[in-house]
Amino acid sequence: MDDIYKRNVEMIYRICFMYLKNSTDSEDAVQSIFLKLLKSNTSFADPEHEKAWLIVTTRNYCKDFLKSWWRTRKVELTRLPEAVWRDDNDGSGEVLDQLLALPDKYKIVLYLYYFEEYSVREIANILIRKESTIQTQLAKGRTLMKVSLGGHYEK
Amino acid sequence: MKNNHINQLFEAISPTENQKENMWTAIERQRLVAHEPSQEIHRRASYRKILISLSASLLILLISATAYAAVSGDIEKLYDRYFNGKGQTVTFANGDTSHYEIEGRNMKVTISPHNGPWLVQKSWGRLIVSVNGEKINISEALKKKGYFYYSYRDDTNILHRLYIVRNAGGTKDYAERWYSQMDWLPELGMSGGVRGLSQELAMAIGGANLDAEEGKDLDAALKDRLEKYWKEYGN
Repeated sequence: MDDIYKRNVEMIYRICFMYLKNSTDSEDAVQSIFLKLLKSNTSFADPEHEKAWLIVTTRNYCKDFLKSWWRTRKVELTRLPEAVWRDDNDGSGEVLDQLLALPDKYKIVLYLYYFEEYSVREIANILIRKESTIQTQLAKGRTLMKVSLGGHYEK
Repeated sequence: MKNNHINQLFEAISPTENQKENMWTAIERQRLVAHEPSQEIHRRASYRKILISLSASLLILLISATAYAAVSGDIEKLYDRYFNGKGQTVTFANGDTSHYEIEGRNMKVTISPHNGPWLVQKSWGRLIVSVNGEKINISEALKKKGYFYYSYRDDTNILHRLYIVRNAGGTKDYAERWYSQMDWLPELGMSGGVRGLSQELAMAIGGANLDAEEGKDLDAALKDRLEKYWKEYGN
């Protein structure tokens, strides 16, 4: 488990942060996802299988979390657990905010394609979407990024 | 990996070494907790994830808070009303247990460490719910109305209302099954024993119960609330 954690924690955290947009919830999510892995006793054929499982589980966890009433209601009940949105390291500041503001479906595809260097076909397999959908989302994501970043991204 | 601008942004949201170490410590700690029969959990940041799993249990607090706050505007009074600083232990229909104590603004929660089971099982193509010593075929109710509920009092005289309700999420996204489970305790204003329950569905069921408390027929209230939920969130 220690090895799986070391291999994947950064990737899982980044995906969580893209969805949840704050470090507190992202840290909690990382813990939940690894506990889920422990509980499931899932065995993996190889590190790529392990990575793909974690990507899908992380995405589903974050989507579920964002839908949960706790998430949506706690903001109203400010005396209950704190709602922290931007207490994170400075990073690229405003530009990072613009990236995080992109729709989730574009962010995850951009991330897997550029940072994790998955091919369109691999992303389609992992996210269970058509390759043409991934290509469209990639193109749309690039366009949005270009608009947001003033043309600073590279293909 | 190319060192382009977008990758620099992704790199910027990497966890620090300190964060990674803290998360691992918390995972180890919670892994140990999960192997013990029951643990007392105080509301700390590292345990927020466990509190989140209590979402349905706390749903009524929020719903009631809305209603109660409209009258008094004071959520602490709501806590006092339900918990009186002494706490309340409940055992839900599927065996989940929760104990709550509210002292001022500090909430102390003791929970059973694992989610209890589904009370619905398939048998010869039928959906059978096992509750309160009974086995009930709910296939028709789910097919015709989209929901089933069953009320009973447990050994400690707590009133339960077990709901099995068709959800809108299907199984392809986050719902475990095409229906969801929730045990509502009308007199205590709590719920728990949940499986596959989304926020939206919890709010629909909770809202229908509030409607019923205000005098509306429960079935009519459920019909209204659930139809809106299915229409809005259905695939």
